[in-house]
Amino acid sequence: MVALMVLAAVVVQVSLMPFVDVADGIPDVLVCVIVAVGMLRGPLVGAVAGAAGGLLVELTSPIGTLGVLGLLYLVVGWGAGRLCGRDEMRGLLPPVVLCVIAEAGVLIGEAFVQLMLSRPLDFGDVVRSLLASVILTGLIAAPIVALARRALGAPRVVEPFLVSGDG
Amino acid sequence: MSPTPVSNQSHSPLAQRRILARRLVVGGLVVLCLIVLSIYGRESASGPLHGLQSGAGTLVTPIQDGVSRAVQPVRNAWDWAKSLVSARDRAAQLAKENQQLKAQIVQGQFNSEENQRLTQIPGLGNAWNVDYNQVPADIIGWSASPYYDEARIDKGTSNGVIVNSPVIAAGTAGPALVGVITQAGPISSTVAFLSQPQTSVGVTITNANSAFGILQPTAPGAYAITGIPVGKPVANGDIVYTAGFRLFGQLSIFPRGIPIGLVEGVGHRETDVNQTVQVDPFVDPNSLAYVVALAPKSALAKQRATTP
Repeated sequence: MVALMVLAAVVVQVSLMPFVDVADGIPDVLVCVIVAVGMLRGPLVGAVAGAAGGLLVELTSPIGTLGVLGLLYLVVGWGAGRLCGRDEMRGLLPPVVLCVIAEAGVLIGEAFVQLMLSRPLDFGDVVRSLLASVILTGLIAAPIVALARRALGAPRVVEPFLVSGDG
Repeated sequence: MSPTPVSNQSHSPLAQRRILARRLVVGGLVVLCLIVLSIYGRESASGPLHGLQSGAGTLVTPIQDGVSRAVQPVRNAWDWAKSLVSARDRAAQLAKENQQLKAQIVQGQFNSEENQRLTQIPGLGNAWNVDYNQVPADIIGWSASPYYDEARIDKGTSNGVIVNSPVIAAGTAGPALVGVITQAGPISSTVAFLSQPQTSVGVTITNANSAFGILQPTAPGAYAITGIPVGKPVANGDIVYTAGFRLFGQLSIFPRGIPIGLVEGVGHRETDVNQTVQVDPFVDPNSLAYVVALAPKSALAKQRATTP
């Protein structure tokens, strides 16, 4: 189910979302799904889903890097997974706030990597697209998190299979 | 993997093994991403990872094509609504441009007939409309990252489009340069628009004694040319064309004579040797739905495409 959700999010992200370009901002469906998956299945699944989703986006969308988004979404999935099952995350607002923070983190991280790769960036452009993307992502986060909760059920941490016999 | 209740936390050896295994998996993924990033940054456009990216792009091309067609009416409506906001300013700007262009038509009329005759000879005059096959293409996907001005088109190597093929589009004054192909698969390609920060194009302004300079993007929707000596008589309204070469006479991947935009500002400080020229491009890449990729036909065009 998690794999299907990530795959669907990647397809939507690379084919539909770039057309929803408002003030150079693009809503990030994938970050919402990764946050939801991490929150509902723990850090390991969140990190794996994040890395896989990020790499898939870079493979299928015209983006001039490979590995950057994989790394950033991995951190998002891992971070969201650390909050799995916590009481504070039960409502809808905390996950939405988390999605917004995660999207800001991904975009800042991406901008940082662009600078490391000696690609000149205009500070004003970065701030504008960051604000627009964060707001758009915040707008779509609530229904995506609600859908993910419906699909995945109650939060439970998934552990590595090699010790599953003891769990 | 097996599900474990959230409350089942302990400091037993088993829990420690789980933590270790979890960290190993995540650490492995981090290392994998870093390795992929390093290799991708170092390899050429024909490297295995670029090939993998191109292949994966080809796989999603049909989906992107379908979505692109489905959302086109919505995009058109959105563009129309946006254009209403700036309609008055645009009308004034277009009237001004119209006046400048009329003057240029008079100036250019004498040369046009002879120029047309010369450009019928393949290879002579670096004519982009003779040395290249024009391949119309739909834009079927845009970059999912706001930091990349790139798009995917539905034409690829099977149509003659290769890496470094120039890409033009219909602008406010006819066809104009918008970008270059950076990845080419069999049925789709990736075009990087001139607005990408690292873009650098050798350009000339024929009205200003064929002044040569390097054009680079500055703000969104604007470019600047550097390297034109102060003595060159650059004026507002002059048309900026590709020069066909770069600094020190190196061959450029762009053929000579493709229009890019109009000069909209010229300035320099007293101590400057060169002037800075602001350029208003003929084409805004963000509003495009279709482009024309130039597939190299002549030996010179093919040589340009292989320019490092």
